[in-house]
Amino acid sequence: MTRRVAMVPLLLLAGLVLPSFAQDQNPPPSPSAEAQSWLQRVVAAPRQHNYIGIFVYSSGSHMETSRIVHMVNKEGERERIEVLDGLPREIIRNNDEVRCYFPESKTVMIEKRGLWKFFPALLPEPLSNLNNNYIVKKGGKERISDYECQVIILESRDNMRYSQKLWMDVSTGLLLKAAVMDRGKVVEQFVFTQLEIDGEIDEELLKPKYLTKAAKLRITNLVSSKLGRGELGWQVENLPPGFIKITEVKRSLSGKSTPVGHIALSDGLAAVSVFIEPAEESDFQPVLRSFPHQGAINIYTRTVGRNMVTTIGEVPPITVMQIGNSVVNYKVK
Amino acid sequence: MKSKISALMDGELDNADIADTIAQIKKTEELRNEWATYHLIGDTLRHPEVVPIDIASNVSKRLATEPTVLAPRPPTKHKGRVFVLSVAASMMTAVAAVVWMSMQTMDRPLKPITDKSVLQAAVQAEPTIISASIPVPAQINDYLLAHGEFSPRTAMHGAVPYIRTVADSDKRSTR
Repeated sequence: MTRRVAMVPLLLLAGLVLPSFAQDQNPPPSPSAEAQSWLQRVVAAPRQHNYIGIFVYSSGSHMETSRIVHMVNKEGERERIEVLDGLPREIIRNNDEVRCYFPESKTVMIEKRGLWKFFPALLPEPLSNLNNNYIVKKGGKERISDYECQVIILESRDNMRYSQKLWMDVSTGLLLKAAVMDRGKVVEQFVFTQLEIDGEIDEELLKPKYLTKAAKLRITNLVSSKLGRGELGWQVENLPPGFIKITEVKRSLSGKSTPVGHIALSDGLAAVSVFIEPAEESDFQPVLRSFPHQGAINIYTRTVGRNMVTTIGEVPPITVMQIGNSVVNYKVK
Repeated sequence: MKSKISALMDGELDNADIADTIAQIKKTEELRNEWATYHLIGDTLRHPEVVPIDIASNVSKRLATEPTVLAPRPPTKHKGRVFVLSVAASMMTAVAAVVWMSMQTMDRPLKPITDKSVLQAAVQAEPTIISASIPVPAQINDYLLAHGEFSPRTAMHGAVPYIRTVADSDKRSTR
């Protein structure tokens, strides 16, 4: 407890004073500061530019091609991604709503961002806490899809997170290639193979292909409601260094009568989610397992009492396991 | 009031309630004891092996000498407003703003635990992984989608990270 009280002013100091202090001390931008400003550009760019192109996503031996159409106007951002390999699949984003269409299994999943919205605004300070967890470096210039790109490297300071390498278009700041790396080995990457920036975009291209059949589709709606005041009753006791709880919410997931608890954690770049779901009486069995990762995503499930606790994040297996293993219920019910 | 103290500890109170609750705690000894007890419970749960026996009185002393530490201050108000505005900002910004907010509310952030034994335990847990018999929970796709909402990567990649979700569903439907 003493530690807790003592930490408060320390954190306020770290959060408020240090960034400005650091800037005052270094009038000419350091390579890291320059890299940081590139990162801010990359976050802002999608809200400023139209683009249409083809990108390839790969992880391990898996590789697939998708077409993306991205449009910005006064109504905000709209995006359509169509996976071109294998079964037809489609993702439509309309500002804060994401819909995934799976025509083969006749399913639509809808996720409405209840809490955060996209808007053309950006604060400079927040990214500064990246420095605690990553060494932010400016790399050289490389050519991707015929665009000159600046390379930015976010090198993990420990083994609790992956390193990332980003290639961003020099003139617009758009991200044209990104690789997630585990000690020099590429875990997953995506890269544009063909891209047109700031051209005219026909609204027709943003329309979902499967909308007309939507009436027949099973719709999964992921609704969330924000929790306050420790309502959830669950906590991650042993957060890996640099990870911070962002929020906790309750969500309704498909076909579940009881809502699922969701604790969101982040180190500024990588995110980890913990889902807590009461196990169904009939098929309850204690489980401890992690699933083969899908690209940079690792998943770890264990039972706590009669609850399934599933930890998901774009972090190494050791990190999801540490987090998953330290999830406790601190409320006696 | 007890639930408010509990919420305050967990950093779940909003600014108005924080001020109010702290004022109450300052006034009433019973509540001060409550506060200390909750922390004792919390610390016991977290570190059963290292509970200093006089923690309750330490807490009370500390509170008595540093009452202003926990009180919301003018910059808090200001930042609160910035936060509201930045809800409308990018994911990355929103995340960082919330990170900031959670610092404000003492949400135990940035605690650099590098406990070797814990890491060791995590590594050792690996051989117990069952890989074949239990199917991937049906809700994993829902989880992946829900996870995307708070991922800073979504700010940079837009909906691109969601293709992972889609790919997984593909595997399931062909099974």
